[in-house]
Amino acid sequence: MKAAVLILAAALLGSPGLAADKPAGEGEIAYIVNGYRYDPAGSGGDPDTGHSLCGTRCNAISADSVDYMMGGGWEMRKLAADREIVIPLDNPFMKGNCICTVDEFLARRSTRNQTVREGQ
Amino acid sequence: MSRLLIWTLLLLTLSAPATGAVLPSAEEIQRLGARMYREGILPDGQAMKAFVSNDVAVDGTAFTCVSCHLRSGLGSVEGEVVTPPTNGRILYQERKPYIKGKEFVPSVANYAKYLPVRPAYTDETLATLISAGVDPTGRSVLSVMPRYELEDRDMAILIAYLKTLSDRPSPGVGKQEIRFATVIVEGSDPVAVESMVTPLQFSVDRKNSLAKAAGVNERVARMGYNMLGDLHGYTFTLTRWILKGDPATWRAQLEEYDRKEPAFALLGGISPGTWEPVHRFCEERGIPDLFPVVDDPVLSDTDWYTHYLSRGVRQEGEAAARYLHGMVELIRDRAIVQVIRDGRRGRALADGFRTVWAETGHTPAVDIVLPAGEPLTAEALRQAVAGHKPAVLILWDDAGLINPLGELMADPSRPGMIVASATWLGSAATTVPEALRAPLFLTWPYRLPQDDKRYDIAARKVLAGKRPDKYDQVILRQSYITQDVLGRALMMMRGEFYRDFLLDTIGMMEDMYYPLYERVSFGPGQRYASKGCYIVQLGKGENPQFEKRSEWVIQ
Amino acid sequence: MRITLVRLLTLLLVPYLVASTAPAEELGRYERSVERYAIPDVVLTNQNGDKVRLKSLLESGQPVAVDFIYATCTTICPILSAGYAHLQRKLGSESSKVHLVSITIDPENDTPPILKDYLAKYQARPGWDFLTGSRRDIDRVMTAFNAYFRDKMDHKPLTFIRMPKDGSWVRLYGLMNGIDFVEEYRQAGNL
Repeated sequence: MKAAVLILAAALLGSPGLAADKPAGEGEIAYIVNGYRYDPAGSGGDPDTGHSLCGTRCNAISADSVDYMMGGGWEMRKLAADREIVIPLDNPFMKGNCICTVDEFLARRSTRNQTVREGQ
Repeated sequence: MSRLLIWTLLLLTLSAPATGAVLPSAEEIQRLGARMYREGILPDGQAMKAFVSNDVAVDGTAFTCVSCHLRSGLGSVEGEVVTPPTNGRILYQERKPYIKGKEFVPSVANYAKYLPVRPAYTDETLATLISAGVDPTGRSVLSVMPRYELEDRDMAILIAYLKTLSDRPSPGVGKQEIRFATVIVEGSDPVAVESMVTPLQFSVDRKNSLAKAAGVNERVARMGYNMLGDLHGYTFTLTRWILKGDPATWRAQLEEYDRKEPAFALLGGISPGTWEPVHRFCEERGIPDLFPVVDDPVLSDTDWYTHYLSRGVRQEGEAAARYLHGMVELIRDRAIVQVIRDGRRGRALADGFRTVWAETGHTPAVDIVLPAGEPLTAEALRQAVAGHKPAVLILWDDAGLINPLGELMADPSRPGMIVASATWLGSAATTVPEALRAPLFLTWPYRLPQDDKRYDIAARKVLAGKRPDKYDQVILRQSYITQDVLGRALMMMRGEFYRDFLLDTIGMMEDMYYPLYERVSFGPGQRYASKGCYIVQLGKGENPQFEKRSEWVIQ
Repeated sequence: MRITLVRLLTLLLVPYLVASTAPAEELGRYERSVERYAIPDVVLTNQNGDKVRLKSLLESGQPVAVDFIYATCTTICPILSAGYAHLQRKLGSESSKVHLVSITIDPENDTPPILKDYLAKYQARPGWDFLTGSRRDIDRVMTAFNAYFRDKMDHKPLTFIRMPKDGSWVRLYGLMNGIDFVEEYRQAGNL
């Protein structure tokens, strides 16, 4: 518990560490993943296992739009639909890439209303 | 033959008065009635026979009373199906029409007030309802209500049991007051205790201010009523129950607190070690205990009264096993080694992994236990690797593992994948050298820190302006959840402040997005609110962030 | 103002009153339509912990039905599951020819051992699979069947039966009785 507290404290209290505060309006890219497939990229990896692992890998980068909103004061703007992005499978036992089909969003602190809505 | 005629015949044949049967003692009614109501088992040990959707025969064990009317008997609402209360106190009262002119907005929280009008039940009409599905107005109730085939005596026992459900006020509930307590085990870190208590006290104080203002201002009273329904006029108290000394003596201390000032429910609670005696006490006394701050909760599929925030640190071990299960084809016959730091935390993590790994039918991992206090060395790791040539090395230990692991990386026979607990590594996780980051996978049972910042405003609300750096950030957020779940549940209870119904109501709540955990979910009988844990890797650079390699819930 | 309030109340109340006062003649009434769905190629996990590719599982050409339930669900799922169990019993030794698929809408809680216990409670025979998986994948499946529920507490009684002749699906909305379910299954060309 203690150690975990330190990580959160580092992030939440703005000390240099895991995350830095984002000023309103700057934002970050968020993906909602709609599909995935495995590309062995010449490695000869098993397609079924690859497909399953790419499910985990692609879904891991998927944002939850409700989660973005519920903290309060954030908005999401759609930038692109059904875009394909390629990410490495990142598995020590199998090579290849994952092709994730995503809707791309810009998520940011709302600039429309500087008095940020209070929580939920 | 018309359906009406069939129903009439059924009525005539099945509505024999249940009152003729000789009833067993009150204790036996509780025991036998609860078994019928909750498990669908008849007093003779056979399964109750039932028919649903008019014609589908089912065992009562698959379709018990409790599955819809819930443990308290106060009913449920799910999807489009509303289940009315089935406790004697409400059944034996006439259901009157909605009172005209009263400003009241119907919602999930008060649906049960809008059920159709009917006369009060009698033992006879209730027996007809249970056996034939026809209510005292002659209407047939929805086909989702099974029709149960019961002998007279069994019917009489069931009806007698229904009369005892939610029939007298729960302890701790006054006319306009609800008393709560929080259990604090002596020896808990004072900062942790304040972080646990502050959000609860904030919530209690806020509620009491509203009740006070409503007492003197009619507009506030009306607003309070529209917001909180029957709850609006109640005040809350929160008492600290401090437990001292040997856990074996806690039972007597708890009984004494409970005798002097019974609480409707225990909120939060904190212990640096075991929680088991408190859990047992609540279970035996039927006292809800909402979200104690403990690392090692009591695990049970059937215990009812303690609701935990999660399955504790073992949840990280379970997540590691599920993640590895997804790639088990790639590991094949190679070993998995678990290096376990002896102690509560290491054992819980290892046990979580071991249990889930066994459930999936895999060869057990090789366990190597490190004595408490003895530093982990590169040599010990080399030996473990040389002896077992594992594909995966799991290290359940603190940040002391980073340097020896760094040395192991030079070893050509090093395992392809290393798993460790990010919560145990703590802030040292960011100091993991770059060379170690590719094979190192970490368990993290919270929303990622960079994402949880979005919830700062919500979480700090409960500090009422106090400085956040004085508090334990994890516990503060956990307690935020406790007070919010409690508030929502009390609002949904439509004035029926019964202990079992509090837990039934939480079981009907939708999934929630709160600070700290990615998702908190409930469900009838579910007792571990946060069920997820990410597998993460460290990103590149000097102050690396966590990057997700799994979803919140891995199946 | 008063009229508006009364109207609002009536609107809000009607579903509740209908739900709880449906006369015997109304029971077992359900909506039926024939639809085409594109099954997403997602990997789910069955009650034994095995990974299955849903698209190949559902489009194998074998007769198949799909519903969305969860293990701790109170009212709707026991009815749907009683219907599945009833169909398996009716078919007796032929039951394994019919593939029944339940997909959890509560993947947070529903681990393979919990799915297995649920099936045992309904005395499920081989041929009835209960699947869990990642929330994102399950959301995608629900969306593909036009059956997305934002939360498990909002879910609706839906059953889908695939017609082997052209791969279209019969969509059944409502709490059916057992005879109707068997009949729908037969009509779809699966028996």
